[in-house]
Amino acid sequence: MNCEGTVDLLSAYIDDELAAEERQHVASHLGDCPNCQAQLTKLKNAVELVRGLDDLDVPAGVERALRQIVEDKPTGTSLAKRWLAMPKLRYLVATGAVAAIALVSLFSLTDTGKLDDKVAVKRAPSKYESKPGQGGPTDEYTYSQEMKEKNALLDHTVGPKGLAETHGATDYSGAAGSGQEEAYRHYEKALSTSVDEPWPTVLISRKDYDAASAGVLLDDIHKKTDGLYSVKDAGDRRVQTVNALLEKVTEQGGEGELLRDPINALLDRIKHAALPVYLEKAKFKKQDCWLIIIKWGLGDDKSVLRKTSLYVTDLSGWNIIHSASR
Amino acid sequence: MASNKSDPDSLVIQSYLAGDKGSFNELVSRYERYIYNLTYRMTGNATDAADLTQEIFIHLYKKLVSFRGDAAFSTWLYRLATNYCKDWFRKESRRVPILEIDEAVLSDGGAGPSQLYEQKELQELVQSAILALPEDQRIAIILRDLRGYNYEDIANITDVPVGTVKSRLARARLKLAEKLAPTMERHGKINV
Repeated sequence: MNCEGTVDLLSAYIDDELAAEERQHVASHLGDCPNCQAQLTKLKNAVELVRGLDDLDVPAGVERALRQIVEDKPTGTSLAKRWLAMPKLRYLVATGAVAAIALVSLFSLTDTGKLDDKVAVKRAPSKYESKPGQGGPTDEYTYSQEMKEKNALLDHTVGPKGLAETHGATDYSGAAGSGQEEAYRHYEKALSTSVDEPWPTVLISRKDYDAASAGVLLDDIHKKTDGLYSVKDAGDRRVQTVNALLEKVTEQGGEGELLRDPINALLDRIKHAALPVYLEKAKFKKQDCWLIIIKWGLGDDKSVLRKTSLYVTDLSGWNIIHSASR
Repeated sequence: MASNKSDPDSLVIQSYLAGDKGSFNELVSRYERYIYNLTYRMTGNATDAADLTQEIFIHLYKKLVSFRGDAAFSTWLYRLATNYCKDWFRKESRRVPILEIDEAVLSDGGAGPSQLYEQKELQELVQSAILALPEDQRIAIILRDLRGYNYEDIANITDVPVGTVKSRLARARLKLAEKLAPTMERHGKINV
């Protein structure tokens, strides 16, 4: 058996899926051929890396949605309507509400004054800025008015038509309906009932922090978020909260999705119930960075997340430049 | 449904078909993790995996009455799920975002991130390499190396001859080995 014939069989050799005779030929060739031995090692290493991938937990929201299926009794003709009623949509609506609520908390947090819902807003320098005179004007973020929030939500909402287009198969060509209107009602309801809920905040700024000014920010967020979240919240809301943060980043011109894994890694790193509450793109000692603030805590479900940690990372989110906790 | 006493899901499915709708949730409990991991590895992101997992179980709910028991339920479900994934990718020309490993992830040559971060990075690299495979090869790798199915089972699930499974896995592993060789050297965990 030559090298070419052997290499083709190495994968099945690793899996012990060769016939006895083939296996013997391969083994014999490997004994005499260092190149094929090296190739075998390389393949085994790749297999080992793949097999070492984490077995992922199903997000709590998905678990709930799956158990709702049997209650909703989806059928071929009413699937689109059922989609509108299932947790997936509620989740999307809630996410939209989260974005709106983040807007409210953001302005509350940064003392920007009254939000004019017709005009884009420029924020004045905040007290967190370490060197307010430097770096030019702080035109951190431009917010659209409430209708833009609503439209953004509706753009994300899967209505019957969109669903049919996406999944054009017979099973998914359900009846058309007033999907957008229904989603809009969900949205308004969510907005009207949840303004008092604490939700994460996202800020894109040109502020230049240092350890001291970042500490002032951390202290402030630590106080403002004290008592707002429980251990149970961290379990139930984690996915939604992270999604809300990332969507907000994307809405403000960033690439939120790229931060999903680094933020999840930070949450996992804390090893206790943890929720991100604040995300700011800024500078730290003139280096572009993310400031990520996470509430965390221990105890049973009702225990409050009392600890607050700040991680300053590079823009990839993976490398920590500075950290502090309260 | 044909009786298949060796299938551990047989009783649950019979119960469901006899009218106990709650048995569907038992199937959900048994398989949600597998399907979520399958869809995550196929798409590379949690949002699409969550959507696809829900859609696959809705599809299952509607199709379960047609399960005849000719194959094990798990094989049948995986066939349904992998076909659904392939269909999902075809619709609207969805494309899996492929990270360029060298540029995107190896950019900071191990400048002291914690072990956890290195591990996370490694996982990202391997996931990126899997995403770069053609769908059929990706499915074969997931079923073999993450679910542990043998070649015959994979052939049944994907409805191709065993020889095709063998060649898909061989081609996929060669590509993975090429892509991941720098990673293995960099992490120093495995000497090539």
